[in-house]
Amino acid sequence: MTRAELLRKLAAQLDWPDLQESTRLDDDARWDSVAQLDILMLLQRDHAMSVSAQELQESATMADVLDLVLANES
Amino acid sequence: MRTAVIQGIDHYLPEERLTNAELSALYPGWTADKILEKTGILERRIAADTECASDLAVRAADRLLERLDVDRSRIDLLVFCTQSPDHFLPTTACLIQERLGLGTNVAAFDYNLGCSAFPYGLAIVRGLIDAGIASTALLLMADTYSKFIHPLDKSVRTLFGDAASAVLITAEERAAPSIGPFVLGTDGTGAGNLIVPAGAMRHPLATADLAEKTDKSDNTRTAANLFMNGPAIFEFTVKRVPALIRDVVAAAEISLDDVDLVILHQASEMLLATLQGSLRIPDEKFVRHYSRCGNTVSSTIPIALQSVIDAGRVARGDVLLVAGFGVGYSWGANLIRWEPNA
Repeated sequence: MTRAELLRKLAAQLDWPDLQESTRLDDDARWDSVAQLDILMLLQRDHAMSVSAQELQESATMADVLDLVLANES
Repeated sequence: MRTAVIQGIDHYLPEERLTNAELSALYPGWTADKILEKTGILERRIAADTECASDLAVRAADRLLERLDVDRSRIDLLVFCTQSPDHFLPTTACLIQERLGLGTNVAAFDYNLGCSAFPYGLAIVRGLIDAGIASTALLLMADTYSKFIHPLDKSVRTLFGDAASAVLITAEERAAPSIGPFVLGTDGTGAGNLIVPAGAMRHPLATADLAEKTDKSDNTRTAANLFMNGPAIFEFTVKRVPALIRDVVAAAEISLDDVDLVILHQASEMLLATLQGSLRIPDEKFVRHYSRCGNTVSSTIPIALQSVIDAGRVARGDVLLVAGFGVGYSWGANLIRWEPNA
């Protein structure tokens, strides 16, 4: 899965059309525990992948999230 | 061999209902449909201000004992699970013994677990019955988490409901154990992810603990309220529970295909859907029962089990797999061969 594909998939899951790699998460109200749960569920359901909830919660930007997921993929 | 056998199950839900429409009015951006989509829950039952865990448990036990026409003088063991006891002391089981009119020969005690309560309770009762220490047991579970929850914390208020459940277990002669094998486990590193921080001895309640704080997800709570780190609980569950299921069927030297019904702790639709998918359990074997009561913590599994029994989905001799997991972290699973006397 490429970074661009993953970003599109996460944006669709979160219903967040303007989501970009540069999007800051730590000051966006949309980045709440439900959004984080949505990502964890998507990764488990579609990719049988489990990432660290703590690292996900500590991600400052969407680029950090993509790094975290792709590191777990490899 | 002498062994513990489940004879029947019943439950009680408090009268008050909390609907998604009521919740959506409190939480901007959360529609009733969104709450249903995320949780799978239509409504939760909420204990009245004056209604405690013992009140719910007595109602559930009375229903069960009357339905099965049990002679109360035969009961010699009362095991009660709650995380919302009537008092710090005495143990709530003593209050329940008196209110149910049980004899003073009854061994009665509480244990404190949440979502893993049912397998642990079955393990305790089976141990005492199989050892010849007790012969007729009431296993009761009741929780009133609503009393811990801040009204403006949607992360928990949308999920949890109050309830009690009751199980009658007796000593019988069977060719093999009817309940078990068991796999039980604990990982206290997760304790802080589902907790009421203040109010007990480690952190006695002080005025400052009643100050409300609103987190980044726009959930408000005090230190005396229930806190749940949902993503951390999800991570724990999807890592731990599939292994737990595999371990318990391996301990029984069977495969998951040999199990007739799988009844997991009814946590939320997101968790159950994920676990069902990762374990590849077909719909006809996977029990869901939470839409009208929510996550009732210690009672989810017995309530779900009663629902499939009442619906005629359980036949004599069926093998049921039950698994509970959550607060602690604590987890447990066991098999039940359904073979009551009647």
